[in-house]
Amino acid sequence: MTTDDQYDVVRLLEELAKLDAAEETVERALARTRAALMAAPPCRRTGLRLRSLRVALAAGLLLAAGVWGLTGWLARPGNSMFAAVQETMTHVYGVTYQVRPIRVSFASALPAKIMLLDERRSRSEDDRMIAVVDSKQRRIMQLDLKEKTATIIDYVDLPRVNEFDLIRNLKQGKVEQLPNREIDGKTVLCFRAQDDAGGGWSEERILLVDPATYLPVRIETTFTNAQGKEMMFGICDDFRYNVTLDESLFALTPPKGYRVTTRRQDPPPAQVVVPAKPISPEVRLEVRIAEDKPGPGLTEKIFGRPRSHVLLYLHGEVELSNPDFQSVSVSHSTMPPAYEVVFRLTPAGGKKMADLTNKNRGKQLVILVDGNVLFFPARIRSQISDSFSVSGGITKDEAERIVAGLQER
Amino acid sequence: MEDLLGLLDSSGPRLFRLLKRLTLREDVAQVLMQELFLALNRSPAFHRARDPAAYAYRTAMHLAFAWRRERKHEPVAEPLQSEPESVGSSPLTRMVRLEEFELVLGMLDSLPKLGRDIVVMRYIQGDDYEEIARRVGKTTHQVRALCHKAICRLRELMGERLHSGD
Repeated sequence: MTTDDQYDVVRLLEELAKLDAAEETVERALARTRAALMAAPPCRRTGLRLRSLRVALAAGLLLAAGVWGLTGWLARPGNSMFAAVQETMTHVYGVTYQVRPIRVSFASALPAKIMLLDERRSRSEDDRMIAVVDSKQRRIMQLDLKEKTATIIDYVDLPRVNEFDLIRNLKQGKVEQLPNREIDGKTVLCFRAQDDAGGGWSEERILLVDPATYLPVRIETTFTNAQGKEMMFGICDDFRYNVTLDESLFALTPPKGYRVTTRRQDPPPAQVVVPAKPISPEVRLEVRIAEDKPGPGLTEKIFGRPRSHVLLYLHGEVELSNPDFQSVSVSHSTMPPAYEVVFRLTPAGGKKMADLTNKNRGKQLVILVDGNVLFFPARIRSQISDSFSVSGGITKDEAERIVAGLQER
Repeated sequence: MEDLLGLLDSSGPRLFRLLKRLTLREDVAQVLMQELFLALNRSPAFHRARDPAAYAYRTAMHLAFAWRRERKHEPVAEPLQSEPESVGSSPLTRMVRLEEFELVLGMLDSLPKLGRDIVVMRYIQGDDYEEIARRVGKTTHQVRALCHKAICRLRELMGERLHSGD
């Protein structure tokens, strides 16, 4: 303790204000809080003081619930709780679990051990085969332990990798909460998800979740054919979380002594849905940078629907505007199935964008039209130069509508 | 419930960061975050509040300082998991900075509640005086005066502490 300045309280408080929390930690805290709120009894607040009036209101609500379909109405909190489970699952890695086919009618299947290292790498092992999947590289390595052969498949379409990822990405509208169940004397939350498995088949998943951690303890999957006959019933259990997994288990290099076959599944070319046209001078297209936290000179902007919206803190500078864009179009790519709004930049715009994305890695890139945020902001991970596309969760209609508004007529 | 979930979405990240700064512990901030929203859910005053977000921020501060008072005699917090940029990488530097934060937070808690909350909002949250005035129901001028007074008192407390040699 030497100088007054060193211990100036304002300086110390300002230093304290710089103390931040990792995005992951914040998201986990929000998910847990949301889950705790959903599990909490409803608040007993009402402006109605008269008991008879409350009773009448309750009776009315019950009647309404009966008329509108009690099940669907009551399923809503379950969906929110399921959202909390999905959010918790999103932040957990180092996961291992067992898959046990119990009844299989159409093929032979062995119990397998599944390991998930991170959001892109997984490995499954059974007595005959090992499969390592890297969804980012779009590459699978299959090892036949008996034949000592390794098959490497590139650019493979990976619509579903494993049950865990499938549940993480399940649409909530397809999920309902069932009454709690007991496993080994412990009460667990129970959800049912039904989906179309293609070819007339349907799949049903029963997800049992530990109410303390909001993580699955068991997943029961049933596949049924078009005739309604059960074709497969399997169980995933023995879930372990935050396990330290050796990265070498997820390497895509075949072991020594294996005969290697390489296959390449070329991605189909993107199909142009709306041809490229210049940006209309009647719209004001802007690219700006946004921060995660408020700060001097930043403008707060809300984007998204209620309960899923985000707060953006936009910088005042317009980094790119109409003259920097050459054209906009919509294309459809089947890997992954997505409609993309493709922006092509002029040479000068491309240079600006390259500088911008190089200097602002980790920040959010926001596209605004007439001052309104157009897409969910993307975090800058790498340099963008002559063109970029926006695809996340956009339907064909949305993409066409957006582009129709942007293009010159 | 909808209003609380909306508040969680809009203000949750800032509330969590505030709790972390006031407790210096992520695990405690997570627990307090849940406690905060459960308390708000039970609180008729929150549901009647003209500005529910402001009510939530002040409740968060009260919860965090209540936690600090309860653990006054316990060992110092765990090492910071994410450090301000100015903190060097040396473990000793980090430990010293952590002690300084503990010290200033302890002193903050000895201020009158309104002054304490205003200092937290101004210096730890980075809110402007107009926003703070709206939240605490005072004029901007009053808020500036209260903030100045609180900072002077903090400086006095720090001076006393330095001279006592603790």
